Amino acid sequence: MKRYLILLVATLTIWGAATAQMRTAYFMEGSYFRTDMNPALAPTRGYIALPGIGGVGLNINNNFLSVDNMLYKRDGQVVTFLNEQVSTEEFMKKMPKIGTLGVNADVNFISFGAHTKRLFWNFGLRLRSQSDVSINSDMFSTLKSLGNGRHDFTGTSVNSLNYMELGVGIAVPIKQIATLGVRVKGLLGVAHAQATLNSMYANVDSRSVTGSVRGNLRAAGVPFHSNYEPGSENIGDILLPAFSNESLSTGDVIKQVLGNMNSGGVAIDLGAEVRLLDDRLRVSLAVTDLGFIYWAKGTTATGEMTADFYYNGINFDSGEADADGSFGMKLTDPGNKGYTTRLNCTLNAGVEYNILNNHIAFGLLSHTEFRPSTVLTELTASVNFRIGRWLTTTLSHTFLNRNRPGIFGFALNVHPTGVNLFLGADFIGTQFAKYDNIPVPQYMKSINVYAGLGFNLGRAKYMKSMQKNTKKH
Amino acid sequence: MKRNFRLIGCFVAFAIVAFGTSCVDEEFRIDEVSGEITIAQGKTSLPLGYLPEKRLGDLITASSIQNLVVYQNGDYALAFEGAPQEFNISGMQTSFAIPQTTTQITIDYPNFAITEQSAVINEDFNVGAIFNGAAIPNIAIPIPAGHEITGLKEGSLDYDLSFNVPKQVECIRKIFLKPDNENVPGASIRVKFNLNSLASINGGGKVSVRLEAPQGYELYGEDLKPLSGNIYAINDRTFAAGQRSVEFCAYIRSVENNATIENGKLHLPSALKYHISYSMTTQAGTVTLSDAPSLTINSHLRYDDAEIELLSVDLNQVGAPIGKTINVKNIPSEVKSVKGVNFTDQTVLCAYIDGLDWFPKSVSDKVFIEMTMPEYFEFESLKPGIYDPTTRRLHATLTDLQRSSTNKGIELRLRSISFNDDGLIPNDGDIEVDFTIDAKAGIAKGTRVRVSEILYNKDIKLEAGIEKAELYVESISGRIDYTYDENMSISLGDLSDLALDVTKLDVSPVLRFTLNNEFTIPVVASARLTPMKGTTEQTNKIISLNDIAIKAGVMENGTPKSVATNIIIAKADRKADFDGQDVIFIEEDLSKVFEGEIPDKVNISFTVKTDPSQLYTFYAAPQFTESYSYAIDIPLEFGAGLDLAYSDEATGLQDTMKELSDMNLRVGEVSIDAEIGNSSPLELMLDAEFIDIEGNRTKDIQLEIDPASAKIAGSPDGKSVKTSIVKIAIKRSGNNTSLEPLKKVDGIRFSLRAKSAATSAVALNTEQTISARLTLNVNGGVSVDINELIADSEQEYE
Repeated sequence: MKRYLILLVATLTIWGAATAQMRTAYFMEGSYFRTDMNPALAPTRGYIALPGIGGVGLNINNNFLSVDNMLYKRDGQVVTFLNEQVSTEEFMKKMPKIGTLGVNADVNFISFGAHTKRLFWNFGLRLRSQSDVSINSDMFSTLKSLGNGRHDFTGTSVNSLNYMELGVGIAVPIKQIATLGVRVKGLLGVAHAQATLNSMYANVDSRSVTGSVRGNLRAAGVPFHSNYEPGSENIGDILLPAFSNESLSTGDVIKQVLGNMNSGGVAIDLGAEVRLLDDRLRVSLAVTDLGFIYWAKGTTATGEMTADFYYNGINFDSGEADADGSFGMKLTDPGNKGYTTRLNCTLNAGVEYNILNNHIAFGLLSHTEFRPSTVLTELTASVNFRIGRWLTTTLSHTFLNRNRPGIFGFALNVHPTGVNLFLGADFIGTQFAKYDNIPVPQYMKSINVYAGLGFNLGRAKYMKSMQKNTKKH
Repeated sequence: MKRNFRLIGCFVAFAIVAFGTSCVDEEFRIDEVSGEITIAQGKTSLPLGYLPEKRLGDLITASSIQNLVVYQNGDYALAFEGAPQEFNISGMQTSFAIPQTTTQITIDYPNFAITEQSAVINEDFNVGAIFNGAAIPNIAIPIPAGHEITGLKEGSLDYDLSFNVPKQVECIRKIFLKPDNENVPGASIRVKFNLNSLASINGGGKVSVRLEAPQGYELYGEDLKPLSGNIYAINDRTFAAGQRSVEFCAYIRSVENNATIENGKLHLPSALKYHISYSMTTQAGTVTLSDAPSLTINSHLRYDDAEIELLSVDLNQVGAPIGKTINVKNIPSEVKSVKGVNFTDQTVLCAYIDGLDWFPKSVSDKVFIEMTMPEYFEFESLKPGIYDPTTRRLHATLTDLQRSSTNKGIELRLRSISFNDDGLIPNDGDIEVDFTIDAKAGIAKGTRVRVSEILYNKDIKLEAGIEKAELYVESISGRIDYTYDENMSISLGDLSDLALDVTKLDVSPVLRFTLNNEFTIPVVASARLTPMKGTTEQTNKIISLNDIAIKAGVMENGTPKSVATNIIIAKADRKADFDGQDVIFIEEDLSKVFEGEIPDKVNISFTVKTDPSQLYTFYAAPQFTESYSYAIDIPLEFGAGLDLAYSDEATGLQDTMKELSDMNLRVGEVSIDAEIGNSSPLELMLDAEFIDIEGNRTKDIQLEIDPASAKIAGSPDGKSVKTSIVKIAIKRSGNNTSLEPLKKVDGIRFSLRAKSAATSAVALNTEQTISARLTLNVNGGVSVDINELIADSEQEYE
């Protein structure tokens, strides 16, 4: 019961304050979220964000699941993609070869930043979670059309990386035309889990139907331990007793949990912004989450999964079906060693051109996420309206990743003195289907919504080195 | 401020542009999504089921064809066989006792006596005296005392020893002289010195005598002790005064010589040398000088015995040898003539001689006995050098042959009794064989023996004989006339169901006949095969076989052991099947026995007989057990009426079918392909049907076989697998896509019926196989309404 309480608190904390990499917010000068995407992009004011109210956000990113991909209108009726009126070719045209579904969430415990005379520095403590699933789209086509032959579903995997991050960053202006930013982050590994299907296929022919799955998994972190019996088929054996033995006292649980917190790493964010043409043209480039976590020995667990089946038909002699299947999940010996995972680093490259004394800026951001099983690339175009020193609003559209033109992003940042209110979403559909009377985006695949309330410190200003060339508004 | 409003206006304009195009598609109602889905929309072939490879061996056993067998190569055949039958041939007695068999022999014994002419020595002569060195005149003169008188005389006495010697004597080595009496060792020689007139003046003196006999004389002295050499000498024997004579005595025991016997006489001239000398001292007296001292030598040499060396002496037989007979009994009547009888190693006869017991043991080794055995008998000596099989002579010493407490004679192994070319004809099962032994004796040349030992003045009667003995017959050689008849019958039963078509048989029937012959001579067999239908002979199908050579049995450790003769009667095409096997292959087409009306049975009569014109060696045994067995197999090839079927069904599917039916599934085009693999030569017809729980054919849904593909071809060679595809459609009444009719289906029944092909001539074989594989072809997928399915599940759950 107690551990569930701990989990509940953690969940509330997640919901209490969440930040994510928001494409729409990249060019919003008042937003303190942008330093997460580029440490050189300092907000106009110092800030403090507290847990609980600092922000709430959710990022679900995928490239194949959408109402438009799964449901079709035929003869005045909405049918699923499995309906015979939807041809396999039509369906598969919309499906990528590898479908990816990613969920990222960051729990911000506390963060603040401040301008000093020469630089901007910031500090933050947060819990980060990066999970993604890759699915071979042959699964869908096989279900739809089957047919004789080999159906290969290799490429399916699930990955989840969870860690605590304590970062300290600075943004340093270089003369007047550039700013360099760096954030150094110490990482405390919380949990890592990865399951990969190295081989998954089915052979269908007139004599037999066979299938095989081979996969492996590994996990590491606080909830896991290596003191299990290799060969065990009980996946629960890898859980630390604190998470599996209900009879332990809270003290023992905490002791075990703390004792298992010995995985760590380091990461660095690097960024730069170059201001040209009298600060009208700003080119920025950043690499974030360039780092790794070493999962300590003793907290790792490995396993393998095998599944086979065959069906040869009914043996008319015996009357029994000549079929068999086996599924086995077996834990293996992780060895007396840990392993290292890299973070899902991101490459953000942006270019902004502002007009009307920086009141309107047109931005183009290339956002590339290097995930374990795939690389996600998006291109976001945005129009940023900087109305006064306290209001910024942005409209954007993200290209690539199979986003249709009718999906836009919107963000609103109200940041007068003392308060910083943020509201935004990277993907807002404009075409809707209906469920009952509720409009449901028809073409939208990803969700990235966020809202937050922080506190500004000081007056809005730009960094000293920028002030000469930056028009005041 | 103004600027800000402008900016806000621009933003609003952008927003309107961006979001102004938003709309809601009223017709795209997610809450009304159709649950109709179709899985596997394309064309898919899935395995439905299969019949594992079935061997004909598994199928045909179910048909329970009697007498069905399988060749080693897997071909089927009808086989009939008979358990071994036995019959006995009487043998003969294997051992006989013969009594003691003797023959009397009279010997003309030679006279070995030596007669002699005794020699007498009687000499008296003066022994001159010399008086003081001068001759004494012949006057009587007084001789004063105290004078020495000496005298000397020496000379030689000649005498002859002559003997008459028998012609058998080669030489006399030593002659023994008869002693004067039993107390002395030999003939005496007495020597007396007479003083005569000197006696009156004998005042005492000494005399010495010396006798020298010829070389080879064995002398003894007065003391009866042997003297070394041939000299008797007494020196200085004193005589007393007044003594008138002095006597001396020697003995001659034997005389050795090397003289040659001529014309039966042995002449031994001899000379005895003597020497006497005396000296005397006178006493006064008168002596007649002319009455001088004298020496007298007397001896009577008479023959006593002799040690002789003989020439070869034949002890000749007087009269003819006396013979006996030996009987061999209980010879089988089939033995028409006996050329010889062979005996085992245990047959040993003992030859002996009686009648020469008086022969001294020392001579027995020199006396040889030669026995000539009867001419039919073949002996073998147990000791080398005693028996010469070429001359049939036994040559042994009397010592070896003489029976005694320690010796029983000489043993000879009797190998056989052999007769002339015609042999002996048994008389009521007996043959009598003459057993006469011709024996003679003799003494070997050079035998040294004393005449006294071999003197025998009568004829000698010998008994030469064979001790009683047991004769163990090993075999009899002769002409044997033996015949045995036997009848047997092979019942075939009713083969009409098989529709056997023998005329098309590539592989012809085979009759195997095995005769185990213990009879130790080869025989010849002949047989007659008569097919029978009921009690009627099918005379047009009778087969006769003649002059089949049957091997003879053998003897092992004295016991007959049968030798099998395997006879194969078949057409020439089957000969190769028996290459390398020890069989007698007789080419005969047995197919005709089964042509036309197949017989119920086949009677076989066979005769086994010997060839009386040939000489055989017939081993002895009390009886001989013969046995025979037979087997006939007819390769099974299908005829036009042959009908085999295999049928099977897979049931228990009703529940599954009902579940599928309740799911309101709809399927597109469904068909079944049956791939049949057939390595038998039989054409097959496939039939398949859905059946309900009672095993009846269902009506609303059924399997329909395309007639064009229903026939499944047979393998052209009975080895390679011929594959045929049979198309089966699933026909449903009413809605062609609904699976509702499946509710009544409990299973599938299918059958493969074999039909013979009229022109095929390939034999059925156990290893030929039939297999089937069914594939379900679905075109258009399987459709179901998920919403209905969920609703039904919820309803069921409630």
